Amino acid sequence: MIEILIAFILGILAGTFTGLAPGIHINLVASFLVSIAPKLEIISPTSAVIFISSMSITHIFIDFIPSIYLGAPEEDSFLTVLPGHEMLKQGSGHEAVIYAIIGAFSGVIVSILISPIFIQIIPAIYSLIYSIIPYVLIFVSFFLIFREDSVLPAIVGFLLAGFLGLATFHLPVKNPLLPLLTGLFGLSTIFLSMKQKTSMPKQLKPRLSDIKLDKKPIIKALLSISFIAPFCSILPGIGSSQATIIATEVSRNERKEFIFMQGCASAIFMVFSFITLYTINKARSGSASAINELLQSISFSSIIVIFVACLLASIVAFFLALKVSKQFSLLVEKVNYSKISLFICIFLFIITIAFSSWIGVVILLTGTCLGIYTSLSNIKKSNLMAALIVPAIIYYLTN
Amino acid sequence: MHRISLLLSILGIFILLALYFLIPAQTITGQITHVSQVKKDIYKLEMYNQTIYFKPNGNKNMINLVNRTVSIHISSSESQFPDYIYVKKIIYNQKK
Repeated sequence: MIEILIAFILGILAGTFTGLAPGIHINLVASFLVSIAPKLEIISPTSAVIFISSMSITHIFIDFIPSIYLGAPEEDSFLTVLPGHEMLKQGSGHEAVIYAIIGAFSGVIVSILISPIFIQIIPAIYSLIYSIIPYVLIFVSFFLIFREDSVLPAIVGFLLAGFLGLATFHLPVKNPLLPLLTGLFGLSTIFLSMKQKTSMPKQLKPRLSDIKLDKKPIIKALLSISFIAPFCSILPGIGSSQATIIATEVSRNERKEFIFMQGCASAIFMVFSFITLYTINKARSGSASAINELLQSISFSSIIVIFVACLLASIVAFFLALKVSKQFSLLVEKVNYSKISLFICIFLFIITIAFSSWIGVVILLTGTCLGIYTSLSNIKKSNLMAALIVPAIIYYLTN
Repeated sequence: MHRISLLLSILGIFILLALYFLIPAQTITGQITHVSQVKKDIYKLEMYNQTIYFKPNGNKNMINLVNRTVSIHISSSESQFPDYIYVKKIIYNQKK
């Protein structure tokens, strides 16, 4: 029992570390655990599973903090950079984090509640969804382009991002998503903030009870993402961000609901990666893959243990994220934001060289230029999702 | 700034495309222990230390690869599509 408790606490600590440190992903820690587990016989598989589950969920919650305050996202949170940064510039960075973590907590609850249905139907619907998903993505692509006021820059941005994504995934580069998404969504935003000499206003620090959720749009956002994300999570190549884009087109959200929905989608994807491992033996996340290697086959009792660990970790991570976010809001007030931005730029550059080598730097710089182009063309940055959507469409149409 | 960023993006993509043709692919070398067809056109090659899912070019009898030592050139990055990896070329090092 003590071993399980220690595994849970260590998981929370590891998830907090990976969430706060840009570029350090949970997959890195999970694969390290898999490699050392056979040598350390004192670690039981159950404890390792609890460690990975609690770390993964905590990472989802904490990851929104560097995304929103520093513009330094990872693959699960990059879509929150722009709306989150806008709220930060209005002094509402902490409020943006609250929306994201309420979304993530709702995502964990929803996933566990709907899991009995999906455990039954996933094996039956897997091939059906597989065949329709490219057409859904093509439809979304057209929708993204033609809703813009200036269609031509949108087409140019979309196509260039598509080519950038295709080139990135066909090159021998480690951690391709790190430079790709950091360039398109992170570094370009930070660069423009620095150029415009953004001064950070005094940050509001509302208490949780002060946040008044507008019920109707939040319920609409929750329903749409709860319906779309589980189906998308079954498929390879489709991430929580693509699911959020599809769901946004369905429910037409404002900024706050969008951040809420991204939080919700990230959590649903993480929990469902364990469910797909159990039902169709497909690991859709690094964490699920690590659990698969540790347990060899996942049983019903294992999935219950994972659910309990995820639920408890989400409660702890929720309050932990609130605390850490308040500290960050104090930090951005006190320290010169341009200096923080410059420091983050240099840090992201070093991280890219360390994890993705010099080819990663070319991808990072190209993505940054493309991100700047879309911002200056006054088209939505969601068009840059083509970097993931186009390779996914080609993958599904050719397989 | 607007035009410069567009031109630099196009230049960056061209550099990446050029790199795709210029950089030698990663290579995995080993003896194939088992081959199975997992779905249409997708084969699972098991080696002693690695399992590779791949789609061969043309009509190749993949079952003949068992017990042969091969060098597999991988062209893609750690793909976001975890079901299989792209294989550029297979070089047969030894005859069966």
